[in-house]
Amino acid sequence: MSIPFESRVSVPSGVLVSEVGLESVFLNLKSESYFGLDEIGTRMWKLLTESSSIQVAYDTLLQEFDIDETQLESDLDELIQKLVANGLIEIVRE
Amino acid sequence: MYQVTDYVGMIRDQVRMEPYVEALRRSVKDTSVVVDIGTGIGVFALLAAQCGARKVYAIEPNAAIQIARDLADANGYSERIEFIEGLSTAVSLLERADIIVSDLRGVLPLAGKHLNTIIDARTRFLKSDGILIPQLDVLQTAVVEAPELYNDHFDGQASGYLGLDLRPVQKFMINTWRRSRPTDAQMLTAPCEWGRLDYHKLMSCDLSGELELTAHRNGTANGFILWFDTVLTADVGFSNAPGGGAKGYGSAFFPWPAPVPLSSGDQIRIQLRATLVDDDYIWTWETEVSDGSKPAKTKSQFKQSTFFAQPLTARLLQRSSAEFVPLQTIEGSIDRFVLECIDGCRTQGEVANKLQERFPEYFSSWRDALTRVGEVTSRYLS
Repeated sequence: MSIPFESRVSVPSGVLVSEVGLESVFLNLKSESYFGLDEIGTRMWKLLTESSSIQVAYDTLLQEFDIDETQLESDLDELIQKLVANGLIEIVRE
Repeated sequence: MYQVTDYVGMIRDQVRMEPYVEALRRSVKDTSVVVDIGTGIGVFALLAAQCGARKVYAIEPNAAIQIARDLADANGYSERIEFIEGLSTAVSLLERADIIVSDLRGVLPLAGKHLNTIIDARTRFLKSDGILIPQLDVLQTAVVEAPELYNDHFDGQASGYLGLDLRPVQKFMINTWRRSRPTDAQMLTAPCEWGRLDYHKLMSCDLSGELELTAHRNGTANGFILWFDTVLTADVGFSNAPGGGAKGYGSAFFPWPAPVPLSSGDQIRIQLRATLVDDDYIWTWETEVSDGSKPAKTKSQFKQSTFFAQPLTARLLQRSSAEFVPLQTIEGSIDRFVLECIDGCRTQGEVANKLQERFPEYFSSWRDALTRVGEVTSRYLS
């Protein structure tokens, strides 16, 4: 199921993020599991967690990357679903 | 891994040892079966035997256990103490114990696999009405003014030491706690309890709690300290509080990224969490300092974690990924060859012969090959 893009993303308190060059590593203290994101995933993560909505992050990514709108929407939705499934972000519906 | 000098240092610490001796004296009867987990050079086991225990199982993975055997011989307790070389989690006993005694703590009881080991030992070794020594550790904190400790910890990394800009190191240093020995005069707040480890009930290795502290005098705070007070049995125990604690443990000093001027009455709220991840603890401390006269006004706010103090590289990240395809190294090939040669019939010397024959470029002598076989067997085999 797709995440509504008007929603906002927040980071749960038990999630720690450390940047390594342009990549990043995550630790979810609740599940005691590590995760990694590559350079593009890290950029998506930063925009998602710093933007007022997923839509704003999407618009910025569309400007930054040479990518088809539908493809970006699909990629972003897939990443969000994975991050939610691993407890690395929460969706705030306002 | 402890050295023999460390064990000797621990037993010479009277603030620690006298309560342990007293706890054993009060608990051990002539019918008692005692298990000493992490016996080291065997002192708790010897003391249990001295107190009259019928049988003592002394478990230790370190080679120091040989000194423990020698001490048991020298003191005439060899018949009543059974030494078991290995990790207690890999050991089975034929009878349940009346008493389990241990001290597997580091600076803090939340250290490595300590709590896992106690939970395992309690579950598998202890009688239902058995006694654990210690019974309880109480973790206490206080905010401290410790400029020397603080500067020694990381100030030199940033201020052009050796003519170098060492600021990138700061991220690691400010997210690292270290052993310290502050005095009680350095405390800017009264001690505040963070949590309790009741070893008879403990089910989780993690601990988390919020601390609310109030500055009782003006000063410049550099962070907070954490120590434990212990109840070994009934009313026997000791404290590691600054200014009178046991020598061996000290306190853990958790620095803040910058010194914070405090006025009497200022409020300090700390969310402190210790989470066991793999074999070690990730410590996370989130601090908020507010003005005592205007509680809504936040003076400082920090979020720190030992997670941020782990040096990581892109290569390490790549290697931990599920998509990473590992390749066998020559070291792995050698270990695999040795393991394949071990069939329950060949001696180590015979395996070394085959190893040298198979990898002549790596083992110029049979002795080198034998050393490697010994390393592999001590790592994987009994």
